[in-house]
Amino acid sequence: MFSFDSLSVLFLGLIFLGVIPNLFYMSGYLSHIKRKTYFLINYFAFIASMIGVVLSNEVMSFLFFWELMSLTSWQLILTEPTQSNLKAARFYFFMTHFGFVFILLFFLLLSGNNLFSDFSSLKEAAFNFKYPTLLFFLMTIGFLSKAGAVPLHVWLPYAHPAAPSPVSALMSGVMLKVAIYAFLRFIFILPSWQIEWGIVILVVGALSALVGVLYALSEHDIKALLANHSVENIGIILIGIGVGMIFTTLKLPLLAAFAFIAAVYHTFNHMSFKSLLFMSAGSVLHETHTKNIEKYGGLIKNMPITAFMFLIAAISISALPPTNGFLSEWMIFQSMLNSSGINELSLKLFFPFAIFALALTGGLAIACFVKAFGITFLGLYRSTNAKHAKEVNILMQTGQILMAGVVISLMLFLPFVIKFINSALPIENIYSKIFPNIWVMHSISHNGGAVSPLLLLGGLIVVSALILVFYKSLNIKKRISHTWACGYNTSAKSQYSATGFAGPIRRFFGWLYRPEVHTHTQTLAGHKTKFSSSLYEVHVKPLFEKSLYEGTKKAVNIIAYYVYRLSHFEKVKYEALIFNLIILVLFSYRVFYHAISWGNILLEIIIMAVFVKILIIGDKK
Amino acid sequence: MIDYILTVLLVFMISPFLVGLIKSFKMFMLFKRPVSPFQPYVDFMKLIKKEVIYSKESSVITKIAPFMILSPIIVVVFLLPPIFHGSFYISFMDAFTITGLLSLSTFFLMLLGLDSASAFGGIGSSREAFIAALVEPAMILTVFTISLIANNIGVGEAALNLSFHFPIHHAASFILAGIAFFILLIAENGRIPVDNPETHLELTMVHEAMILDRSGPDLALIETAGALKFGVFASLFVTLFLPFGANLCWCLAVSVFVLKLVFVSLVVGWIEINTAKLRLFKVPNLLGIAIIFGFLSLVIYYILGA
Repeated sequence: MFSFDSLSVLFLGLIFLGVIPNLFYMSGYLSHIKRKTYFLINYFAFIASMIGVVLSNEVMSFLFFWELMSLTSWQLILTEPTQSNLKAARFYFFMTHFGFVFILLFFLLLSGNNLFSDFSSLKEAAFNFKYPTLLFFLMTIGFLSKAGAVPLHVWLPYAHPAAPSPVSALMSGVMLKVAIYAFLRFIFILPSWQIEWGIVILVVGALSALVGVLYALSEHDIKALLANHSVENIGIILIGIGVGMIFTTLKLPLLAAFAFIAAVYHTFNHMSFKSLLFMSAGSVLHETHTKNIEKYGGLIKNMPITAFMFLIAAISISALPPTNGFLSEWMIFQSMLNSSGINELSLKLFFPFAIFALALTGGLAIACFVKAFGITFLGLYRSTNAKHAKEVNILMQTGQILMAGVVISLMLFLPFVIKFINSALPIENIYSKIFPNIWVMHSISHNGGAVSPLLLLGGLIVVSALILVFYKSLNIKKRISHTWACGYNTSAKSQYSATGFAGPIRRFFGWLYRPEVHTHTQTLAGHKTKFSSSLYEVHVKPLFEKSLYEGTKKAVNIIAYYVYRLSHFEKVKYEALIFNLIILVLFSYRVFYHAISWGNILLEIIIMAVFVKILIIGDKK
Repeated sequence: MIDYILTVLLVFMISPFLVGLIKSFKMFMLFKRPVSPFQPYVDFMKLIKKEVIYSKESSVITKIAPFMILSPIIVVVFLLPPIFHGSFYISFMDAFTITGLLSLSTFFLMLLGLDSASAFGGIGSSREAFIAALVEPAMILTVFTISLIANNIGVGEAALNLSFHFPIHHAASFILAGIAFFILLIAENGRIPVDNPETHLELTMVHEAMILDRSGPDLALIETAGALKFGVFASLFVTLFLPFGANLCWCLAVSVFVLKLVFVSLVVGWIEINTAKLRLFKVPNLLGIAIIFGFLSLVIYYILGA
C-alpha cells in the first residue's frame, strides 16, 4: 500500500519542510480561529492526506488520499463561513472534482479491472496501452487543474486566500507541490513520450507564468496577490518540466536531467518562499484585520520581524541573486540556453517564446513585490488598524523564522539539495557534472555558464561591510527632520497607493486587463473643478474567468435549454435517443479497445450523424 | 592578478568621469560654458562631508538601502569581461547573474523611493518599476543571444571569443542585439529620452524622484552607484558589441578600451541633445523596439542561423 521509494521520500521531505514551521505558526494563529476543534481535525487530516498521497503505491490508496486532501482543504476554506468564502469553497469544490474525474478516468483506463494494482504494474499497462496521448491529456488535465496551471487556474486566487493564513500557506506552499509530485510520478510511467507533449507543457507553463504575474500586479488583496504568484511559479516549474520532456524525446538525457532538476528545485524553493510570504501576510492580516493592501502602510516600524521575513521571501521570489529563487530560475534559463543546437523548426519558435515569457515574468515579479512590500510595510499607515498593529506573538514569529531558515538553507546547501533531487528522479546522474566542486554550480553544456551563490553572498557581504567601514569613518552627523513634500505636510493620503503604483503597468496592459474604473466625485455647488470628496476604484476581472468560464456557463445554459425541449418529446423520440446512445457507446468501445482505421471512424461518425438527423431532429416544420 | 585589480580600479575610477564627460559635452554642444568632466569627483568629496537628514516617516530601509544599492553594482564590476587577453578575470559568472545583481540594486532603489511616504518617491518607484519590468526581458533576450553567438555563456569567455574569432556569419543577429543593448544602456541609466537626469520636475523625474529625500554621504553612495552602473553598461557594450582591441598589447588594449568608453559616452550625449524626453507612456515604444530587436535577433539566430 505504501512505499518509500526515492521520489516519495523527496516529496515527503518537502512536506515536512513546509509543515513543521507551519505547525508553530498555526498554534500561534489558533486563538484567532473560532471553531477550533473543527479546524484542528481538518488541519491534521489535511497534512496526513498529503503525506498519504506521496507515499501511496497503489491506485486505490492514492485516490483515497487525493480525495481526502481535496475534501479537507475544502472544509478548511469553510473555517470562517462568510458569504465570499462560501462562494470560493463551492468553486474550489467544483474545480477539484472536475480534475478528479480526469484522474479517475486515467486510472480506470490504465489499471484494467484491478484498482488495487500498484504503480509498477501500471507501468506495464501503460506500455501496452494503445493511446498514450489520451493518457497524457487525462493526466495533465487532472493533475494540473489541481496545480493551478492556465486555463484551469481561476479557482486558485479565490480558494487559497479564503482559508485561514496557515492553511493558505499549506495549500499554496505544499498542496500544489503534491500535484506536481503526482504529475512527475505518472509522467515517468508513460512510455514513448511525444515531442508535442513537452511543447504543450512548455506553452502551458509560459502562459501560466505570464498570466499569474500580470493578475498579481493588479490585485489589491494581499493574499490573492500571493495566490496569483503561485500560478506564476507553477508556470515556471512547468517550463522546466516541459523543457526536460522535450530534451528526453530528442534523446538528450543529460540536458533533460538538468531541466528536471531545475524544475524540482524550483518546486522546493517555491514551497519555502511562498509559505513564508503567506505566513507574513497572515501576520499582517492578523494584526490589521483586513486583506486590502490599500489599508496597510508603515508596518515595518511596528512589526520589524514580520517585515524582514517578508523582505527575504520577496527578494527570493523576485529571483534576485543570490537567493534560491534566482538559482532555480538561472537553472531553467541555462537549460533553455542548451536548446540552440536542435534541428526542429517547431522548437525553434517555442523556445524563444518561452524565454521571452520567463524574462518578462521576472521583470513584472520584481515590480509586483516592490509594490507588495513597499505599500504594506513602508511609508505611513493608511488606516487606524495599521497604526495600532503590533508584532505578532512569539509562536507565529518562530514559524516565520523557521521558514526563513528553510529559504536560506535551500540556497546555502544547494549542492546537497541538488544531489538529493538528482538521485530521486529517474534520470541520468549528472550531479558530478553540475558540481565539480561544491562551491560553484555549472551548467550542463560544455560552454555553459556557472554561478556560485556562496561567492555572490560573500561578495555582497564583504563589499557592504567595506562600504560600512568607509561610511562609519566619515563621522557623519545625522538628523531626523521633515523632508520636502511640495510645501504640504506628508500625510497618509499624499503617498502613493497600490493602485497608483501599478498604474503605468495596468495602463500598458490595458488590452488584457480591461479594467472597470469607477470614479465618483462630489462637486461643490456645480463647480466641476472643486470637490469635497472623490473616489477612484479599479477592478480587474480575469480574462479567463470572463471568457472561458462564463462562456462555458452560457453554453451549458443553451444546451440545457435544448435538453429541456427534448424532455417534452413523445415516446418514440425517447426510444430513438436511447438507440443513438447505444450506438455511440458501441462505436466508442470499438474506437478505444480495438485496432481501428480512420476510415472506420469516419464511417461511424457518418452513421451516427444520419441516425441523429433522421431519428431525433426529424423534419423541419 | 595585478592586471585584474588594475582593470577593476580603472572601471571604478573612470565611471564618474564618463558621466561628467557626457554632461560637459552636452553643455559644450549647447554653447554653454562646460563644467569640468571631473565634476562628479568634486561632488562626491563635497557630499561625504555633509550631514545626513532622514525623513521623519522613513524606516530602517532608508538606512540600509544605499548600501544595498551600491554593493551589488560593485560586485558586478568585479565580474566584467577582461579588457585585454591574459588579464585575470572571474570567468565563470554569466550575464544572467549580472542582470540579476543590477535588478537587486534597482529593487532596493524602488523600496527607498516608497519609504519616505513622499508622493515624489512613489512616482519615481512606480515609473522605475514600469521601465524595469520592460527592460528585464529585453536584457535577458539580448544577453541570451550574445552568449549563443559567442558560443559561451560566461561573459569573460564570450568577450574573448568575439574578439578573437568574430562569428561573421551571425552578423545579423549580432547587430540587432547590439541595437537592443544600446537602447537598454540608455533606459537603464536614466538618460534622455527615457529619463532626464538633470531636472527635478515631477513630470519628468524617474531616478531623481526616488532619491529626492536623500542627502550627504547617502546621496554620494547612490550617485556613485549610478555612475558605476553607467560604467558597467558601457564596458559591457564595448567589450561585447564592439569587440576589437583586446588582442593588442596591454597598454594599447587599455587605451583602446578607454577610447571606446569615451566614444560611447559621447554618442549618449549626442543622442541626449538631439532628442526630447519621451512621455512615460511613449517609453514602452522605445523599449518595445529593444524587446523586438532582442527577440528578432534570437529568432534569426535560431531559425536562420545568421
